[in-house]
Amino acid sequence: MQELKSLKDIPEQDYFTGGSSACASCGPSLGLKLALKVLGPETIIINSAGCMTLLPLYPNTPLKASWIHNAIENAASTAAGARHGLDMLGNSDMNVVVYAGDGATYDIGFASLSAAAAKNERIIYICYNNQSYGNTGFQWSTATPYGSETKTTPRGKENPTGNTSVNKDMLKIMGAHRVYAATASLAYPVDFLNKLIRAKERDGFSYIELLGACTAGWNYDPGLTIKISKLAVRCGMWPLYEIEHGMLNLNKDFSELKPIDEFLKMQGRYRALPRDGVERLQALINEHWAKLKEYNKQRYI
Amino acid sequence: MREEEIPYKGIEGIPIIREPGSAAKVNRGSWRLVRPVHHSEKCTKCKICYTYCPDAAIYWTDDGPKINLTSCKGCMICAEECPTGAMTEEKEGA
Amino acid sequence: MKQTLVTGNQAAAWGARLARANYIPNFPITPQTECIETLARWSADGELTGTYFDRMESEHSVMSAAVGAAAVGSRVFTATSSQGLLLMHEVLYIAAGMRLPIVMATISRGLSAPVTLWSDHNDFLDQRDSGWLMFHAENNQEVLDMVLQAYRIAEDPRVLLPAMVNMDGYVLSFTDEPITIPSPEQVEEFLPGYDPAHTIAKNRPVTVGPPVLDEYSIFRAQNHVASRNALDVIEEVQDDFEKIFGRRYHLVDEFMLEDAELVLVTQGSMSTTAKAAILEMRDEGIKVGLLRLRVIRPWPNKAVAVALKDAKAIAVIDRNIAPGKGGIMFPEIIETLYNLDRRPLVSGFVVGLGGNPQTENKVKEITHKLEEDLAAGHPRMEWNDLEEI
Repeated sequence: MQELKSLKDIPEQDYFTGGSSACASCGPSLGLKLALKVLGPETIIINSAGCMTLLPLYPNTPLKASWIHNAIENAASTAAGARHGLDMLGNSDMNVVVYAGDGATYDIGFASLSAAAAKNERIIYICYNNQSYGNTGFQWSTATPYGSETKTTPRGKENPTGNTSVNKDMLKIMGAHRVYAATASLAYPVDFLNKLIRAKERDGFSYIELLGACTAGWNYDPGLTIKISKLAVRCGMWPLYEIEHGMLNLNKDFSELKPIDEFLKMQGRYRALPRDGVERLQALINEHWAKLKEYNKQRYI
Repeated sequence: MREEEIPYKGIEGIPIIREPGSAAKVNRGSWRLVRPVHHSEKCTKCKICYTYCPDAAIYWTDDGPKINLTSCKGCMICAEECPTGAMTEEKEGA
Repeated sequence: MKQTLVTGNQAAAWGARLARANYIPNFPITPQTECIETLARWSADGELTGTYFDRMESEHSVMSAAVGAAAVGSRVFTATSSQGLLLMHEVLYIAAGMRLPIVMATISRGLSAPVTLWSDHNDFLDQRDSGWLMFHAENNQEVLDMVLQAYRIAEDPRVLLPAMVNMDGYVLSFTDEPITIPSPEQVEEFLPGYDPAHTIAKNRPVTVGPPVLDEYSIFRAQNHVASRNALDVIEEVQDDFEKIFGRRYHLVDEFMLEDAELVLVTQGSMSTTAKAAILEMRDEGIKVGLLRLRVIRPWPNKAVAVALKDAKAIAVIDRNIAPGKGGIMFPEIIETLYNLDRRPLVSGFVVGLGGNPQTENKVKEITHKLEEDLAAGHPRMEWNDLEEI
């Protein structure tokens, strides 16, 4: 499949319908719709327990592709089984794609993911990252950024910061597995889909982490899903970059990052972060951005 | 039902869904508080609204975008992203 | 017929090889390791054509990968024990709920804590609510035969459930016994290819395992009915099995029950020792027999009731313990006998935990204690290994 040059090149055929119980303006739901445009119907989506699990609800499904729901922590191993099962049955041109949330990916399913990547299984692992356990009501995961409020890291008298842990640098971790790892944002659909097209052609493991803007958890006006997805990239909260065979490539470079204040103000989960928390968060972002600039087009792993 | 009376349903008794896209008929329009309205005179057919609809409620035709009000949940991403103001927001039931 | 010396682990591996399983996910745990190592060697030598040997990073992932492969129509085999079996516990229910006929050899080993490497039946029996078919072998021949039969029964359209074949760790898994290994041609005649209609295939997009609402009960009931259906299928395949391989099995293994007044109920390898002890006790005139449970799920209640109804006293020998309650099979036997016109006396014995050897003398002790209980009209619940410690 040819790489896309602009939004107008995005294939018009959809393998995704409406009628699911996802929240209005759900970022991960949009990610799945877009992904299926390039993956096509001969695809098996392996899903981890999370927000997307309730998209099929017997007897209805919005997908025009296959779907396996196993449990929360085993999407990658289920995918490995499906991949080899298909290959042994002579069906090697069906795609095997994981669509799992950050809780399932960073936390409980990490071992399963790491082994599948270490074995370079021919699967595409898409993590839709809403920086929380979304489906259970927005609890903390190791993907939750510093300063974000969640139901298990609420702000209170003793702790005005909310979450005091810094989220795991998952992209570098996956890059260290010597596979293809990339971030993506819904506001840059051509970039996302081109990464997926590249992943489809690769004879090995690909990890794509899509920022899954979440109106219910992050607490913003639903219509702003794309604007927030764009601002996250522009202010360095969600840089778009990839690591392939250890080489780091910054996909979207800016001469200057926007300060994070505008991004934080748009979301209820950050609104009450005190000034020192905002400064700490800004420092973390600046530090990471400087690292990306330093290692851009160089061997990071 | 007595245990010995329970019929064996074969494949119908296995929890799988075999009809792809069967959710299309489910009405999510009842969720809406507002709805998008398209003004074709302002539309430049840029496809942005169609691309960004999370529920595939906007489908593309030669005349530009059309809105499927069964699937539309009224999130208003389309109105927010439309660069020409061709997609506007209207109160549901207005 | 030519016989080959194999361990229980190797017998299970032969079962998987002859059944032409095309996906074998695996993770090592004592005392199962030799099973997967045997398969690994065959795979590396190109002797497992059409099979992918997939090393996973945990037993939970092993069963998850098994589900993934079975959901696209593969015939799957794996093996585990003890802690590994418990680790995959949640996925066992998922596999059964999805009606995927995966076959797994379980090599029984006692559970931590404290740690033991040797055999008892807690790990295996703790899976009895999972929806899997459960078979328990007495010797290595039965291990191989059960694996072959398990595929045929599990893949039957009236069943479509995963199946586990248990063997006792060390006693069988690492012990050589002479067995007859059938030819691939014989197995092909007994076990046709697997072509399911409820899995994902090209041009057949399926959602496997979706959330449901009120239909949940219906699907769970189907799981139960399918397991009950297996009772008929298990009996049916014995005709073909005997015709092709020359060996016949039954739902239960009855040993000298025709005139038995005292019956020992056992499962697994200790049954062989018990049968030897019974032969000696018969010479002394004691009318004792043995009922060996070889099918645990579905529960063969009619066959068990028929076998036990004429006994005067029964000793249920549990090589397991449910702390706070007692032996696991004890209540299952009692329930099966409850509605008989005459209920035999039933005593319970907890033995052999953590591989504690069950000698012929111990079996004779149990029989004498059962005689006492019958004379006194009073059953007992006893642990028989504690005095030696």
